[in-house]
Amino acid sequence: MKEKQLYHDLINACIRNEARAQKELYDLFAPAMFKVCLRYAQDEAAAQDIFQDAFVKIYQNLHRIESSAHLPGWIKKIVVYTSIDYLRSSAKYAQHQSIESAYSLAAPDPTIHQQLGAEEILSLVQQLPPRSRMVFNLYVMEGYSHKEIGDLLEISEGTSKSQLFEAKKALQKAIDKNERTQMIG
Amino acid sequence: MQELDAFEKFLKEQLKGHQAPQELMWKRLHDVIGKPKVWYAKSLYKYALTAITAAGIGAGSTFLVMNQQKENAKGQQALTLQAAQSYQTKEVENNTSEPTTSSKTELSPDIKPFIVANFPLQESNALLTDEMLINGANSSSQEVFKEQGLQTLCINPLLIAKQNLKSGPISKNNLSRLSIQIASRKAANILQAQSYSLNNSASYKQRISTAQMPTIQLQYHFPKGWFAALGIGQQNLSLTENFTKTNVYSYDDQEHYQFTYVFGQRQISDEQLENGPWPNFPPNPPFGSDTSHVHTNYISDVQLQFLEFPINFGYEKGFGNFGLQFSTGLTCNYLTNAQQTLSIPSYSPSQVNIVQKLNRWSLNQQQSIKLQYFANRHLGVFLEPSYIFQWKGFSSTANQGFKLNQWQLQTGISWKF
Repeated sequence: MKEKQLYHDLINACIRNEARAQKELYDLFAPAMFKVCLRYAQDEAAAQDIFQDAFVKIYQNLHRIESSAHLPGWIKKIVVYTSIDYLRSSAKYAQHQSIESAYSLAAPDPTIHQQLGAEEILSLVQQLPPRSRMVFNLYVMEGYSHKEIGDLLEISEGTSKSQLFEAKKALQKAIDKNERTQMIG
Repeated sequence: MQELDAFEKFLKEQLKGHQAPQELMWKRLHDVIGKPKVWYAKSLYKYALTAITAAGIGAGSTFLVMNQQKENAKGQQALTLQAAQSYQTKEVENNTSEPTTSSKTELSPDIKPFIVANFPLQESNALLTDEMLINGANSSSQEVFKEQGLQTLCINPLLIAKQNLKSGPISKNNLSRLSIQIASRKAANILQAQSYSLNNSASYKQRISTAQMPTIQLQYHFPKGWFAALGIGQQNLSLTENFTKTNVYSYDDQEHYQFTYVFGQRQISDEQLENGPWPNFPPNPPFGSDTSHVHTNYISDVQLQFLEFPINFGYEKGFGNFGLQFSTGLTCNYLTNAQQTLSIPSYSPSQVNIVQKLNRWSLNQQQSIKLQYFANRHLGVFLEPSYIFQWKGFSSTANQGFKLNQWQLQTGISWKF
């Protein structure tokens, strides 16, 4: 209830263009949303672009939100959709990249001696081909079904499943290779 | 929610969490979304500052004008005194045997003001009467005046001086009949709900907001307090309609869905919707029933930009430095731009220009009371509440559209030429 009231006040203040509220909204959601952008983008610079586009859309469309209780979900949806739009519009999306080359790209730096941490896994995800990355994120992180992913990305359910399979295979290979490297090292 | 396998769960756990963006990101974003209004640009302060600045300029200019007038008067008095003294010396020399110096030195202080008051000197003393002496000039001073041999002095312009005292602090003399005013305004909108025939489960909400640009008005002042005014202004209007669980129909022969909004029906092709990420909209069956419909939520946002041309007629009355104006008149609005944006959840907003579909002119009637404070003869600040009733609203060829009544509060400055 408290949260709903907080969101309600924040939304109204942001609609009135109050800088303090805009900053408060940013501080509240930016860390989680930037992580989402990082998962969809191929690098940090792209994630920053997506993040900025998404937050501009958020501030400009706050008056359209139907219920303040939906604010976190609404913000996340905008961030995810902006990420997908970004990847669709980027030239790399059209370019076919085999999962094998993705695997070779995904091979971690041999100087990493520790077991793969969150940052390394994020780095591997970022190096997946754009479509696999989108499907992986939507399925594993956002909880979309293959049908929903198909509708969203304008691909068939089967394609969505195969993209997810390829993504997981590439990640598994990269992780295995890393572990082997550590053992030899 | 999908059932994830162990590897997927592991990846999800690893990828969850937060990562704060760089500090620079907020600055970048802040530059894009626009800097907030500084305190002096906010309405209340803006109006207060406008009034204070206008009053300051008025007070300053009044001081300068009065100071200039004082200086002029002093200079004129000095010249007159010099002339009077030299004339007096000559007369005394001619008419008396006493030395010239004595008459000059014995000039009584009571007489000085008469001379100083820049009265013209005349040869004849026939005009020197009691009525023409200023108030407060006593008989003793007149006697002294005569005794001193200054009978030829005449006090002529005193009547003018008295006349000047009768007029108020704001004299309309020498002012042109024209004045101009610039005002900013705030409006409270009164919009009647639309009478749509929607399905039973549908609900509908509307919200209107307006943004007013400053208005400029030229007034012509007739005698006896009447005036006429002609102006120009601009207003931007945004009407957002939120339709929930509303039936949207599609017709086979026309192959598009029709979304109800304030100016009729917005059409979007079913192919466009079919291709979009919108599972609720099935493709239109080619050999199905005549009509098909789906339940959906959507938002229609209409943005109108129009110019306003107010023509007013009224009466004004002054009370010292204050003035009151009552006016009524008509305003013609001319539509310059109209956009409609249709937003459907999970679908990119679709925007079209609808200005060609609309009737460009609308007609309003307004009445207002203006309270004005004059800082000087030319400059004034004012506050003007007004009510605007729309006779002929914004409409399209297909639909009656809507009528918008407004309460407005204008504040600004005026200048009399």
